Amino acid sequence: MIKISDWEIREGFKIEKVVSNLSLPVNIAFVPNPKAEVEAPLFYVTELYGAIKVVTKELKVYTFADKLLNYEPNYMIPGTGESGVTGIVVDRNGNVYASMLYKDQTSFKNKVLKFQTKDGLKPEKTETILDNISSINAAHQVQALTIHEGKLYVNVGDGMVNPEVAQDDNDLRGKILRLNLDGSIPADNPNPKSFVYAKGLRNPFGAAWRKSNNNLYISDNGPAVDDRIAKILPGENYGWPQSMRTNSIFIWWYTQAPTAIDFAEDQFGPEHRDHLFVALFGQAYYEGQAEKGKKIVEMFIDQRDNVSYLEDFLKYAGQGPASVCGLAFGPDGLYFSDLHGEVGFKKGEKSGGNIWKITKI
Amino acid sequence: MAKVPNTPENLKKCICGGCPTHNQCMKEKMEGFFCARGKANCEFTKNGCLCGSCPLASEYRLDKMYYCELGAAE
Repeated sequence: MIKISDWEIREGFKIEKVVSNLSLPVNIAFVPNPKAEVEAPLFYVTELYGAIKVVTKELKVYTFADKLLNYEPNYMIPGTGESGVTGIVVDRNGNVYASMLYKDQTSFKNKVLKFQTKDGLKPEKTETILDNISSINAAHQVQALTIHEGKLYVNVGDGMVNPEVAQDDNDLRGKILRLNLDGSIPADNPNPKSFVYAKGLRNPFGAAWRKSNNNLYISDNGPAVDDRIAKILPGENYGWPQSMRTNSIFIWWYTQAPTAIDFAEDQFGPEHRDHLFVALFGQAYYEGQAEKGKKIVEMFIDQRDNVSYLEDFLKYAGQGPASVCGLAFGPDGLYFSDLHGEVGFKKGEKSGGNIWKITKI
Repeated sequence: MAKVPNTPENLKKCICGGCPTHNQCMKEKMEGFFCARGKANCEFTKNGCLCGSCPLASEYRLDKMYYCELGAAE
């Protein structure tokens, strides 16, 4: 490992800051087929406390949407401030989908919004395509969004308070949901009358599709032990709350808080192709280097679902609260968000979150 | 003996104050740091648990939740 800025990275790679001054950047979603112009959107970033930023190919940053929360976040991180706007994905037509929390009288609920846009810089039309899912103003809310073969997949946390809902087929918490892009239920879902695609999950923050086998993989956060990676199959039960190990591929007994995940294509060359890169966030607000999380690991999962390679790829080496949260491969490298950035925040102040890019030298 | 020493240094690491279960009574009576000091005296409803995210859980390899109900880690 070599040290660049406040990060230690595998030799043969470099890291550079590409966007700064974001406020709690969470997840990153690349435009699947970006336009040629340098003014065109390259990727979108969710900011936890109520905004979506768009970053163009020339790395200019614009506010795509803001004031998305109908409640005042309380900045209690870790804890009840760990909620807001989280998941994001872009479809082939450039429409943006984002998941978030909202307050319905006294209770918190999850929803997914669809933003239709012509230029990618501002929404022309915004509609709610999924809502009314009970939640909590903490983690375990709706998390990653992915799109595959024209369907939207939504990772929904168990809501933390009543984990048994993850086994209830009539409750959307603790599930992977599958929707048409207009928010309707696909006729070929495991149950054609239900959004539920898979169940038995706890806090499935990350999700990514693997091209080599056309399967969805997720990260899921355990209670005090047993974080995991799992391959999601339609109609499958992943065991929570009885067990975090059911149908899991890989377990961290000592929890690391896996957040976003993504598979490499050709960005790092053939020796890394099809490898899974996992953000391990660690504690929700922890200054300095940590034994737990604050890193990206690289793993290879063979076709029998055995992890045959696992190595640290990047580690935080500074003194601030920065850690790896969102992560996504773009056309030229691996991008990640550091949530708090180097300086963190106090209530009412803007955080100093950043987006970093890792490329092969 | 409790597994987590009840020290000022450990108290600084405690994250009970941000927990969805940490209610007004606990705040007013300054209850918290349950994994070291023992269970809560305040009545409470379980609204979720942050113990698994706590630096003390990492440091002392705590593997349980809701120390406000269980009492100090053994």
